[in-house]
Amino acid sequence: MALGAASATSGSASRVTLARPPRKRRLSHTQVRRWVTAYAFLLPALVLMAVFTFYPIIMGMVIMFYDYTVFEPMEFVGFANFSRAFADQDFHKSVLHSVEYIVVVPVLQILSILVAVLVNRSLPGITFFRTAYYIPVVTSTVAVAISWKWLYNSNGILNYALTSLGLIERPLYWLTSKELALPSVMMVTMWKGIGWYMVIYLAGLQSVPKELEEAAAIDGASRWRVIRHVTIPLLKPYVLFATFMSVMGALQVFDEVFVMTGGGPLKSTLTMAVYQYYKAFGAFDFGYAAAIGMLMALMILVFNIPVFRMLAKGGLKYY
Amino acid sequence: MRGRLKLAAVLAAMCLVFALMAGGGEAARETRLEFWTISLQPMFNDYINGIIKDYEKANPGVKIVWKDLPIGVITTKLTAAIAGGIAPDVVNLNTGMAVSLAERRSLVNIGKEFPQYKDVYFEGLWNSARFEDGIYAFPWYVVTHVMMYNKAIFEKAGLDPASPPITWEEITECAKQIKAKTGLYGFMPHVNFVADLIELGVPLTSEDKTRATFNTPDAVAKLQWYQDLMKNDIIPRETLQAGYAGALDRYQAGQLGMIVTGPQFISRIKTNAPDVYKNTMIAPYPLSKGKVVGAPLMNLVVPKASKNWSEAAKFAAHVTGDEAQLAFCKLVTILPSTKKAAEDPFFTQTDGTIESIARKIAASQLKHAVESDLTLRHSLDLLDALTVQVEAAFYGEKTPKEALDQAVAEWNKILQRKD
Repeated sequence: MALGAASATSGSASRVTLARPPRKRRLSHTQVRRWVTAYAFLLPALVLMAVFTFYPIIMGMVIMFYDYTVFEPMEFVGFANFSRAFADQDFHKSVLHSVEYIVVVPVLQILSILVAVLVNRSLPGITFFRTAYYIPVVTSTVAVAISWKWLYNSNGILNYALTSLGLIERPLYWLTSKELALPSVMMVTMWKGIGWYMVIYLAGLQSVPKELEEAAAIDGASRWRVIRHVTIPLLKPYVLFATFMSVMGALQVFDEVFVMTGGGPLKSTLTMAVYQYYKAFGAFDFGYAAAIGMLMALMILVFNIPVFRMLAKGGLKYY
Repeated sequence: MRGRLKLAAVLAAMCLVFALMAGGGEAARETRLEFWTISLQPMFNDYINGIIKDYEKANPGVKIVWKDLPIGVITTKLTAAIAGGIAPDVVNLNTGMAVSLAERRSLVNIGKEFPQYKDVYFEGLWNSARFEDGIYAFPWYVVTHVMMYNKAIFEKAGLDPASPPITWEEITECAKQIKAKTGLYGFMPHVNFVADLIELGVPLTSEDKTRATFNTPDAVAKLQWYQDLMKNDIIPRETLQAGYAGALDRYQAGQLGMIVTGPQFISRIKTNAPDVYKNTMIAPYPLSKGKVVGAPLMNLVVPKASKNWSEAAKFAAHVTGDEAQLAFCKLVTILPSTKKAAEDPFFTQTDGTIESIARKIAASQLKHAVESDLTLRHSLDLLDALTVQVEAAFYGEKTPKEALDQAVAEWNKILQRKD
């Protein structure tokens, strides 16, 4: 069936295939050398990935079915770690906070697109702004989190500025109130992430064919209509990639939460990754932590399905 | 010519092989011990290398390899090393970490295997890393808390720096006066409610450790005290989360009147905030009903997975011995855990510097010293259950009585667990 279809569509090449199957060609000496060289270059990275990525993933998929503390022999417990997670209120809280963290995604993407549009102009000094927006990306998250912790302090500069401007009467407890702590940490994630996504969108904007935008403008489209109907649809593959990465990052958020609040106050910022860390390296409950990791992976998958559905059609396919 | 070259190459290769074999034989006879410490490099390189050299000289054939790690990663690295079959032989841990590993039967029971060392150390400190019937660590260096206060802030608030507060009630009154007169916070406690309970003399559990018993009127009053301080803005809102480091930051910035901390931090204040250092005065730690002083202790443990645990324990005893500890105490304001070293006149005399005053006060409190980490089975779960309730009371979500009753109920469930 497939052979017939192939011969019907691809003409003479298929007929040659039917008449005489291709001989197995031996690789030339040069090709072998090229092949060996390529894999030799890949080998160190592959070995590192095998040791530090693939092996832990496989081991994680094994130990999630075990009671494993490192210090004692592993004991097979079947799905007990999963049923424990479904009954664990702290885990439920951490799932809820991780899902709430996804609020970061649309805000971050919209802000990043706006910043990318702003810096995608040939203005004097624009390189400075592009670099300035990117600096938080290359700064260590721990350093960023500690700096923001100082800014958020009850006698920190943020409260001082807001009080001086008369916007608030008393200092706000950014990291020590149950209501504000999670949004305050989200702010830091957004501040640090804008530069990264800005670069992705900047690359996207610079790859948009100018003639399409010009054609729309000649046809009388306003600047907004050009952005709405030409630029943004062409950016969709970039939005898809950035949103996918951002959802993944939000569900796995760890560093800023761990450093700024440690999951408090009253567990109001406990996220899945932080909870998993506490279970693994605080309580040495590696089996349970591995099960949490698997549930986290499943959630990432589930939350990214609508992202792919919504954004799969885009780029030049839009037309 | 080519033949000779080949012969020379073969001979050279054979020599190399024999040399390596000989070296391998040497290495096989050598006992290699890996020693992990917490944040002692680079400040104490000479000291640690010195005690290692002394030990190697006195014990030919033993080679010590020293690694220094930050406190935040040491248990993670130790867990990974044990899992990977490359466990270190002697590890520096605080008592909480040591007991949590002892609970998992991963440390050598020092009390059982090496009872001869028991009388070398202060009884309270030797018993710190007790878990069930075993003692799982050699006590190393220790500090007892002292109170440091800023003379300039006291004067600005109309308080007499020559008469510092000596009870918690007086500290509260001073803190209120400082806040009212200067706008600065007078005090920022490091909240460790287990330590508070121990200092109050409140029993955490029944004798058989099957029931929690800490929801007593004294405990409720202590939690009420914290709640009132927070509600009335006498202590900063960050108190619960900031810990020692947050309080020290404020004190160094000249924004805090009093701080309860270990005397070893004086050197940090001297470096980071010389003006504050000049205004710093020292007072004893106020004793509560239990008549004990919290004494954070550093220990040396020997993992069961060590291939040379007997030699490792001998080395740990050397590092925590009288001579080595006394020399260490002369480098930084810490105290020894051994009785004989603590008798040295160095700990009873002052030269007028605040370091020596702090050392004298801290050393005089050693007889009241107890480590305040939990040493019960499921200690992490118990601590978590208590912390959540203390936080709830702190932020006014529950009354202190409700919070402690709930914590006791949670503890009872955990203490009944058989896993």
